Amino acid sequence: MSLLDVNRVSFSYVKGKPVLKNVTFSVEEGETVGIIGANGAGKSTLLKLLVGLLFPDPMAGTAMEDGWISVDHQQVTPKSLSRIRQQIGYVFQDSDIQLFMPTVAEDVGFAPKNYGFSKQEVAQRVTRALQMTGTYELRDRSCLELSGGQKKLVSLATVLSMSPPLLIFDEPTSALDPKNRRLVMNVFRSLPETRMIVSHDLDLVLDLCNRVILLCDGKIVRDGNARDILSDENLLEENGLELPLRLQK
Amino acid sequence: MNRLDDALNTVQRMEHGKRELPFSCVHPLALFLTAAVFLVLLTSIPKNRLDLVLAMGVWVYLYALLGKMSIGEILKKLWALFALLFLVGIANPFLDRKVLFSLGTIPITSGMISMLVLFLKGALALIFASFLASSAGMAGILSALSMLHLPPVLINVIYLIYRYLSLMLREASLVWTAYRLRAPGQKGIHFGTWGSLVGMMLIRSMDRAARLYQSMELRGYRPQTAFVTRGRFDQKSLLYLAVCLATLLLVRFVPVFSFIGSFMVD
Repeated sequence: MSLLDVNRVSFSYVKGKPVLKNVTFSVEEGETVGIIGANGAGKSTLLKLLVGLLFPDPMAGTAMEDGWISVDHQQVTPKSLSRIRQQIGYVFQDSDIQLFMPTVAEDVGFAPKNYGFSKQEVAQRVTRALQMTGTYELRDRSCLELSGGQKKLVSLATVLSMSPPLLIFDEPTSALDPKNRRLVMNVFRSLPETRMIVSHDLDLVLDLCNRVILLCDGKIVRDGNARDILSDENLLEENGLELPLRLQK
Repeated sequence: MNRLDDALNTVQRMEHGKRELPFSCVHPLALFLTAAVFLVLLTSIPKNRLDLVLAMGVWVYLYALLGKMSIGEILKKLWALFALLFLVGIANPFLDRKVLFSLGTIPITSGMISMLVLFLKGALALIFASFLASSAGMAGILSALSMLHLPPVLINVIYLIYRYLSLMLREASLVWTAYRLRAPGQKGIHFGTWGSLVGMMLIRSMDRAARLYQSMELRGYRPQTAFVTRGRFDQKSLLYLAVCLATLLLVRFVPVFSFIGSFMVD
């Protein structure tokens, strides 16, 4: 059963210069999908459209021609945003953007509180999310005192507190040292939710994803098995990428 | 550490208040009400009543001693503001030359007294506002405002302005560091670079603020929701409030210094 449907979506910031062209794909429940592409391929725009951070605005010259996006069979529109955002957990590339409350526990409880859960329910959700990411002992610490790896895990906890069925990660391991990278990857692996990972770290995508969507100039060039796509040196090079380090000779 | 980082640390410490301060265990509403009443009583003192302002000063001093807060630290941090306070009443000695008494050969005029009263009022208000910020913290102040049923939108605006301040300071610190690294041996910022540097800092901080707001929106934030935590107003806080208000009213309406003075003269 598909959890996310992207149907014939085109989008342009400036009229006549589309950054996404007729993008269509679906994500089934339980899948882990990697979205890859060189800089400027349209990955970030696609993510922003999925969570409703971008909407077509004719005044600003942006447009999303006849396409639509639906999450759990609900179309993404300004009116449905509140419900859509409960369905998607979006983990930003920059954890400092994600973490804005004074303490870890308050940050993790931010979304449940905003969605009107009782104090007890908020506390339970915070505890559960922190335990899932192995950061429970950090709950009273200031977000400013955390290391890069801890920040990333706490960022993940902030979205897990809403138990969204779909998780989206934007460059989840950028700026992490190898140890923290492994730690974050292990936590990602343990999550039962449907996951989408946008990354330039093709080794990470190869490790975590069973399916890959390759974007180039706003178009889907290939959508298929992760290993098949990531081991196709010619395909990757044609689209401004390189083989994952693990597969390089 | 440069001054920007220092300011940033101060703002960050303000986030939740210094938890180790004796008054930090008092409910923020009690702290806020005390500060509000203090400011109202302080501003209500007539311009020539130096005795009452001094009495208020003694009260603030005792409050600082009990609360283990350093007035010296505040004076050091806010010295520029204190210097500005002097300008507020600087014209008074020239406009109001009525001699009240003489100190040796120096005639003390009504204008001098009113200037001093204005300065002390401003200084005491600043000092007490700093006390409130360091003991209740920003979260505490917002929680108090929420308990006083201020519209959530207004509380959120205050909160976001405050958050923007720390964000701007962080960007300013980064821009300043980047500048220093490429301008070794230069004292301050070259005047020709000021405009572009400040402009860049504003653009960067606004961009960052916009992304941060997106992150809040994604987690269900709406300006109509006040997300501050309200604690329990316990007996300790009630006692604190009662004692503070009683002593403040006493100091404001009973001219203690005049009594002592008249007693000594008699």
